[in-house]
Amino acid sequence: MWKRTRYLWQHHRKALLALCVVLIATGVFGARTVRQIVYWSDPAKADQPLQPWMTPRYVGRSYDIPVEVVQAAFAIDAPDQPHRVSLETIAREKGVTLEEMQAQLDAAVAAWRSEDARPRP
Amino acid sequence: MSEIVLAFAADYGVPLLFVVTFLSCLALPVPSSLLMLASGGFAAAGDLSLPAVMIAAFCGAVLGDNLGYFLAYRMGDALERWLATRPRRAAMKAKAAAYMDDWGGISVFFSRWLVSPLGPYVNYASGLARFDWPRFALWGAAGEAVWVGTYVGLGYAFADNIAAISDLLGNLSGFLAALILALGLMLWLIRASKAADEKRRSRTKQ
Repeated sequence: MWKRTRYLWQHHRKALLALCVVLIATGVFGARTVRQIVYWSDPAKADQPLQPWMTPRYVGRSYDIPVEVVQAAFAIDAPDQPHRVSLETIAREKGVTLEEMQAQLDAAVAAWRSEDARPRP
Repeated sequence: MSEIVLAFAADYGVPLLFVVTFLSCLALPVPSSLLMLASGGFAAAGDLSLPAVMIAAFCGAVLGDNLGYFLAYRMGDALERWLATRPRRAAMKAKAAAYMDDWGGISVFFSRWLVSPLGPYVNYASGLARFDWPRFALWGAAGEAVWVGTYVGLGYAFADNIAAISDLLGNLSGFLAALILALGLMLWLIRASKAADEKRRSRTKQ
């Protein structure tokens, strides 16, 4: 084993170093995968924080609420909006920040969930 | 980069997905996995049509693969002349061609989806090594169907939490790609050291 490693170090040093790098990468990616499985398996993290790319419909899907509730929270007139519009565009048009929208949404979701009698996980 | 591309997802939907999967198959750093997941999520929410998303992602990926193959195939002409100048290089080339003949199809297939970070480089390598084009195209298309089906399907199924599934898949595919590379390198190094052992032994016998 030692003899062979020495031989490889003398004759194929680059390949041996590459193997070390790749093994480290395997460990790092493996550890991160496990960490994320643990992190995301917490059901409290199911409501995704708002992102600029999301659409009202998508937000409704993520928070498990009707799209009308989302539209009401952001004060969007549904018929005036195009089929798909990102939160970034809405924020720009309304002159609000994403944080303010998150606060509006959280309030609307809390109100809707307290009225809605459906059982939740 | 992924923020910028995702910001356009709502406005440009399906055409954007086509362009991004196309570019990603040429090894350009665009967030194709994340965009496929998000588009699947949009489809689940009713903002995009699921068949359109699948077809656009698939066509972009297949076109990108084949363009990469042909670009490398063209470059292969120059490489061929350079390789032929030395017997050692010529032997290396013969070995690569023999490998591709035995394992090329399977390598192309699995590098589309299971170890997708390696995909674009396999396209270029296949073109350079003069791998049979119909076999490349067929195995490639089959692999891309699995890739697109998996990512768009997962985005559709786990639409309520794209961030979670995207983080997870990014690291999982990185882990698999690194693992396959490590195993390949180990195998090669073990063979090289064994060959050296045998050479030494035969020399002492003489």
